[in-house]
Amino acid sequence: MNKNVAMIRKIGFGFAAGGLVLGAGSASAVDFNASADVQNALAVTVVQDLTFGTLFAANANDQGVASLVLTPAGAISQGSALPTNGGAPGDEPSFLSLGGEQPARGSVASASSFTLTVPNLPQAGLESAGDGSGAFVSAAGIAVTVNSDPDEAAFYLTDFTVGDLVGGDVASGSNPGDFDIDPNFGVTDVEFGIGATINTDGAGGLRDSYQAATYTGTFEVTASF
Amino acid sequence: MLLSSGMCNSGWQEASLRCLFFVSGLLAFPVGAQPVVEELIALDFGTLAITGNDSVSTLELPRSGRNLAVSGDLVIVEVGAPGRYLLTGFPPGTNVDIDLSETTLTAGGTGVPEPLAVDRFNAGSTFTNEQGEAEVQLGASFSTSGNGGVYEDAPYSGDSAMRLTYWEPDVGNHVTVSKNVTFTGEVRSSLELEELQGLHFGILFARATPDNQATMRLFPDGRVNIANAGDARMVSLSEAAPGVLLVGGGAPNRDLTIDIQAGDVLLRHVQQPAGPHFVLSDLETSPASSGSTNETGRLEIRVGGTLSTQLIKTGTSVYPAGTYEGTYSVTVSY
Repeated sequence: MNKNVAMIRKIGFGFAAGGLVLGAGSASAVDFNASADVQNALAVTVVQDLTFGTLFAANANDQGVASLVLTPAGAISQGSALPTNGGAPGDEPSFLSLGGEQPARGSVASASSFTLTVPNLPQAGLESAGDGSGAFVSAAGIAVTVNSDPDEAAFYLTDFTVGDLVGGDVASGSNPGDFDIDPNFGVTDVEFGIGATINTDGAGGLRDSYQAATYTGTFEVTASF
Repeated sequence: MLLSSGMCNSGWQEASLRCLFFVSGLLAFPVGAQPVVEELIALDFGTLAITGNDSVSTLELPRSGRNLAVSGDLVIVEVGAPGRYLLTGFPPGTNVDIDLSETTLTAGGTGVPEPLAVDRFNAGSTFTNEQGEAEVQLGASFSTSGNGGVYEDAPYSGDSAMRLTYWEPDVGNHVTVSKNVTFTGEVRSSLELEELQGLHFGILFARATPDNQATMRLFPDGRVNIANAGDARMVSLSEAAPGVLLVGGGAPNRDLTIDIQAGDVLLRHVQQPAGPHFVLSDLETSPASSGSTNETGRLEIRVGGTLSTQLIKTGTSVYPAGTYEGTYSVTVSY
């Protein structure tokens, strides 16, 4: 079954424009204007949405979750399987990328260091016991669905990462989900990539089949000083 | 006259034409011609800055136009030129003595104080050629009053009688002719100061606290150094720009003194001036304190300073979004 998965996330704030008053005169003593513009919030601009492209997913089950990992630079690979309800490795459904994927890309206008916060959702949280014996926890991921239909199998996004920067460097922040961005000298606008892991549904029951359709969801990114 | 009488015998009209012809011919000889003095170029002292008038300052403009001598509080902004005069109709090979009366230049030639004295004229030795002609170059000195009076920036002008004395053989005596000549100059003591780029600390996020101040030093070359303390915070969100000022109308290759406001400047929110403000201090320039104009009399000055958050009474306060402005003063002088 082929699936198209697209994700959209947007946070935007307007910029205050700088104002100048010119002072000039023919005398040797002249008054001039000094100014600064204050902006209380950082603006995150969406450059490109996160898209996993076309996927093939066999019917989901409640014994294991399969995953694909998309890096911030755009490389996609098979991710780790997560057993649920006492399932064994290999119980997870077949889950393949058929191409067309692209990471999310955003930008922040800042000449100074700032922190980018993405959802802190590790894949392990999708299983309640932490040892493979527990039930699937859908709230531990960002749901990617067909029209939010609760009876349809969904995908779940976990393990968001930030990287592939243009104009700065990135390091893990002090809190999970935080990434400290340090703009390069002279740079006033930093662009970054966001990758994530997409997981199959592990709820079982009615939620085990995927449609040939576009699956969508949203996730939030914030930038702060 | 004998020849003229003979030519007028054959009829009135014809005689008239012939007479005119011979009269014209007689005028080609210098003997008996009227001496004429034509002012080719008025003596121009150029443009000067008068930087003080507590004592007499003098500009000596030689008749060669070169090697000007300045004493006292005068600065040559633009070099002037000696006066040039053409003498015609004088006896050939004759020495002509030239002298002028002392005079003054006044703003706009109106006679309104403060006047500039013009004296010590120098025309050198003048001899007419075999056509009775000579070209004269005139130099002079120009002096301030030294009485503390103020010279306004303006074109100055004045005039004087040039007296030319020579031996007139037809008369058998010395003869003096007079010509009124003009002198000009311009006083331009002030300098033009134009803002090419405003001092702008860019887009900032800022937070004030009671105990600490965050500072952002913007160097005149555009570099920025931010120092945060405690919870006081200043974050640069865009490139800051130093102020760029252009001094114009100055004397070429001349050192100028640059004074920038020493006291603090408060940058207040344009729409909410009662809210938290920034403090702009330690204003600095490049060049610092003095700089030299280029060959066109211009000097570019870059301005930086240190912006600090305000110490507030309690809690922490994030600065409201908007534009914050203040005014600082720059003085440039010779």
